[in-house]
Amino acid sequence: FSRIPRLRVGVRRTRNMYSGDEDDSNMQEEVPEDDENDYDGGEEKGGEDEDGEGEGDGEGYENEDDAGDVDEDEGEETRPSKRPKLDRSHFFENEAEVSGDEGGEDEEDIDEGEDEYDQEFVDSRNDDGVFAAEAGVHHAFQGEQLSKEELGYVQSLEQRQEAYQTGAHEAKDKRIPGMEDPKLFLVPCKIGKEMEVCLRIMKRFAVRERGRADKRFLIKSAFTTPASKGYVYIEAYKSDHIQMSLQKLEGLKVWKSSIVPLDQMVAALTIKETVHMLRPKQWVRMKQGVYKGDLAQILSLEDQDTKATVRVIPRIDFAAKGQNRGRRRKPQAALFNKQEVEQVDPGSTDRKPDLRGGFLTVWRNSKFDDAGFLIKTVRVSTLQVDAVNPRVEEWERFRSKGDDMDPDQEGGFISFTKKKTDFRKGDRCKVVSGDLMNITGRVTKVVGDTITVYPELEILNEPLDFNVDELKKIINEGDHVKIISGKHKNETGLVLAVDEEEDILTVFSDVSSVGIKVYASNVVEAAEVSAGRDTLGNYRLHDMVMLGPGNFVVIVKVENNGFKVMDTSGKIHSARLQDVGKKRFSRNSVAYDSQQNQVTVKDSVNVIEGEHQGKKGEIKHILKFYLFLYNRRLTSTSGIFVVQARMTLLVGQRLRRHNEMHDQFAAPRPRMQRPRMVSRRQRNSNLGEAMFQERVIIVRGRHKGFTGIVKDVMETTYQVELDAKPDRVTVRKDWVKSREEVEQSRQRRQEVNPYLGRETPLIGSQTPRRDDGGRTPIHDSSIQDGSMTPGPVPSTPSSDAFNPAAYADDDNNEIYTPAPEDAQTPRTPLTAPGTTTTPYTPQTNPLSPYTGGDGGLGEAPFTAGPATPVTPTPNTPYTPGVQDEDEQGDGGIPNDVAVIYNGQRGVVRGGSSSGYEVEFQSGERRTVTESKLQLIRPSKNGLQVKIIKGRRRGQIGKILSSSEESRVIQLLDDHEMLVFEAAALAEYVPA
Amino acid sequence: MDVKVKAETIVLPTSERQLRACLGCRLLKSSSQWREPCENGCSEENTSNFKGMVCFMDTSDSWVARWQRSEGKVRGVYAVKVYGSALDAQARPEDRREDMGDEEKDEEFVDDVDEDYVDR
Repeated sequence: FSRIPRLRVGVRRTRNMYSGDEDDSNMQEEVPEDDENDYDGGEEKGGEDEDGEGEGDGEGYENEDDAGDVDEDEGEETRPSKRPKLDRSHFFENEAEVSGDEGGEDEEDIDEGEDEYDQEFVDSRNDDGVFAAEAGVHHAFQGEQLSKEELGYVQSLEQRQEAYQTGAHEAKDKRIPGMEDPKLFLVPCKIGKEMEVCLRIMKRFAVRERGRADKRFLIKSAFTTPASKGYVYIEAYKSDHIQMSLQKLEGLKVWKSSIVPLDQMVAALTIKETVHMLRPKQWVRMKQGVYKGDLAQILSLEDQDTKATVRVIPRIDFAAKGQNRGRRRKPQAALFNKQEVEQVDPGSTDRKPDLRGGFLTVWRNSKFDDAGFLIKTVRVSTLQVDAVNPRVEEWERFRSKGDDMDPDQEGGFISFTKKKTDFRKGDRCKVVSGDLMNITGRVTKVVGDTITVYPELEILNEPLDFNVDELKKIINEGDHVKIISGKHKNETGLVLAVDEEEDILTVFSDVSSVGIKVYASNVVEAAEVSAGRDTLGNYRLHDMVMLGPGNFVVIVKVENNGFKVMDTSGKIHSARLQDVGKKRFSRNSVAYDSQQNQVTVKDSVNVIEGEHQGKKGEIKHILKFYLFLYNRRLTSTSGIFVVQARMTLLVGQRLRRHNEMHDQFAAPRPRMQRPRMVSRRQRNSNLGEAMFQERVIIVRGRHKGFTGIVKDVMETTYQVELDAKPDRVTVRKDWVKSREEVEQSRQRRQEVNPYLGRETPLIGSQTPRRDDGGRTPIHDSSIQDGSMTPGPVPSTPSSDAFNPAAYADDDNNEIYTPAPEDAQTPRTPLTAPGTTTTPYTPQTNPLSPYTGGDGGLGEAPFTAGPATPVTPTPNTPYTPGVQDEDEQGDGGIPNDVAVIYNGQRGVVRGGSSSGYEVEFQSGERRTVTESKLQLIRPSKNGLQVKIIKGRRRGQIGKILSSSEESRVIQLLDDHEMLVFEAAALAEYVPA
Repeated sequence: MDVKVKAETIVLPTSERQLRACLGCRLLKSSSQWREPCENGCSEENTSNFKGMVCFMDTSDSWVARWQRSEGKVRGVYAVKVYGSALDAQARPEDRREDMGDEEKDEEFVDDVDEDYVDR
């Protein structure tokens, strides 16, 4: 009350002006006498206080306030007769609002000695003339007399009084901010220092308040709420006031203040109840101390819910008894075992009754319950209440020992985590509560939390609406699901087991090929197969990145907020995204293998000694003398392993090296002398010999059908000068064929039966061509004898050209060898018609995975030939998902396998030299040659299959899930789960 | 305490830690200061369970003070919301009410506070 807001001063002066300017006498008339009487004592002083310093001593205030109070009281009683006039002017009401509570006070001022104010007015014009003028304008408009304006104030006062008396509801309306109230300004401050800043403001205020009058604060208040992180609200009439009062206040960015709109002021001051109230049994996470991050469960709440007693798996440091504080490690979390402790330290434990009933064991001032949990009372602020998301493993630790956990907890664990099931159209679900409990159905519509379900019940054939909470998803074993939240988000997999009670599924992940446990509410049925996440931020799987200065690692797994990385010792570490530094590219790095061959990225090497001996991989990264190799078989580290370069041997170098060393050392290899450049040039020239200046046809891509001449040979591409355009285009090597090749394939396609190709003389005539076009000098120089390929007869020169993939890959590589039979097929007849290497090829369409369907038989391997030595990757593109374990050349179709012969389905029941005995559905048995049989590639889940390739040949299993090229099967005998390429399986029909 | 004296008084917490809020008027003082009664002359109960902070430099001409029902209180540091305080009883979440006992009573009490203030 005693403060003088500027606005009020202005208003008062306005009225003085009127009285002076316009109608003194009127004023005199209107002012009731009794008012004047009331202010006998205080008027002089009060007036002076207000107009003079604005603030006065205590006495002055007292008078004034008293006067005001009296006036307020009287306003109602003494002037009812003048009210009707008020209605005429809306303006009055506004003005009344301006004056607010102080209406009475203002009144009083006017009532006080007029002369004094008339005098004052002259001066007041200078500083508050705006108000005066404004009010004057209004006045002129209204044509009202001064006294009526006064009445406005009186009326407002009455209203305010009434409001207070008519109850809280109306009072609340009055609490809503209006135009006349001080404004709220939002002022940024240091995040987390909001309260500190507020207290600092208050301190400065207290100091200034005792100091010079002109330094005193004009701001009204300052506040912060939990929602205003990084901001402090300041209440003041003008932003200038904030500048004046708070400039250079530490932590406050006064210059950045912005005004809060009137309608948002209440919201600014409202504290939303975001914290879900803690309840016993709720899961929380500890935020501090040795238990930081640990899951805990609330047992009870104390001290107005500011403290909570929780139970947590203890982390007791038995070894260090408080000593060695500096380098203490976080002790392992393990349940307290009273017996063990008693053995070591007899009599150290004590038993005390628990407030919640039962007894607790007390040991070293810590309390443990009988299950071994630590019972700890902590402040609620040290608990993380939101986003606790207990992991299944964590929770199971609680459950396994926490036998006292109430079994009657409704919904068990899930209900506490408040996991809302994400239903999607088509999901199967079950009603878990209400009258319709246990009814199953399919979701037909999802609107917010309302799920429309079409029940699977004959008597109920209309859709029903349920709340999310009333339904539970039904996931069955064998379903293929996608995980939609949590650590394994977006992974897909096959459900192996369902724990009905707890809604926990065991999912065999397509990505990591391991079983993971997830909540049923976190999965949806999905047919898609995810490849897993392979990017995060700017990083990709298999990138080499810096982790700490000079420490380079390779990313072997991308998680939701971090990576698993492998260092040069092969160890796997976790790395958070923010810890990962710049990427390193090994493009220009070189290393030397055991034979001093220079190896670079993308070369394939065999590991010839050490831990990884026998493995083969493609070089992904080179770091000093370490090679990070990639081999798809190693699923655990996404194919990456690390070896020292000297333990490796460049693929295809072995025999050649020895020969050269002894026979040809007179002709040193240029690549050894000048590693990088020479080798590059050499490669170019090597390849160039094959295709350089060759007339070619482009068979794929944008320029398909164009003919041109190869003008330059790059690592994986050719520069082709087109005949039709004066243009050079870059074309992938495997998109280009020489004219002869095209001719050949065309002819071959015209063959009546491609599978009988072995009989056509034409193919034979192609051979020389192939030598020229397909074979590259590297083959000649290094692996001429083709001894790298297991099957083919080594002496045939063409065999090399025909199965580049075979020697690009490794002998030891069981799974990923790209089905050498397929590649060899077209060639086999030429070389060794009688070999047993081709048992399946007639059935498998040799075009399918390799050629992309662009040509005739065997074209793809043929064209790929030249590219192979330079880019030892072709095994990757050419063998998508091929997991052939077959290197042993097992022959023929095993018995009890379904086949198709002439469009008829049959089962192989025996084999002989003349062919296979096939039993048809009609019961007829015929002996058919292998070439006329086609195997059936089973893909249906649950179907029994026989493995027809690899070392598990002959074993029988069941399909669990299938993708385009691979199948997950479970063996019947030992229930082992394996992944096979489709071609390695055939439908099994028991006799 | 007299209204005028109140308006003149400034109450500052002596420490920034261990602040506790008056259940009657939300005034914040450090726990040692609570050996003295509340400067607003309301209940002497106090709690550490509060949220937000308001510094009133003028409790009579301030919308914030009006909204917080702190008009005419001593100038000082206040909490925005005090759990367990009758002033904030209305804003309490449903499930808390059960513990509070009679709801109606709480609300009545709020009104009382208002009128108290007006009378003063």
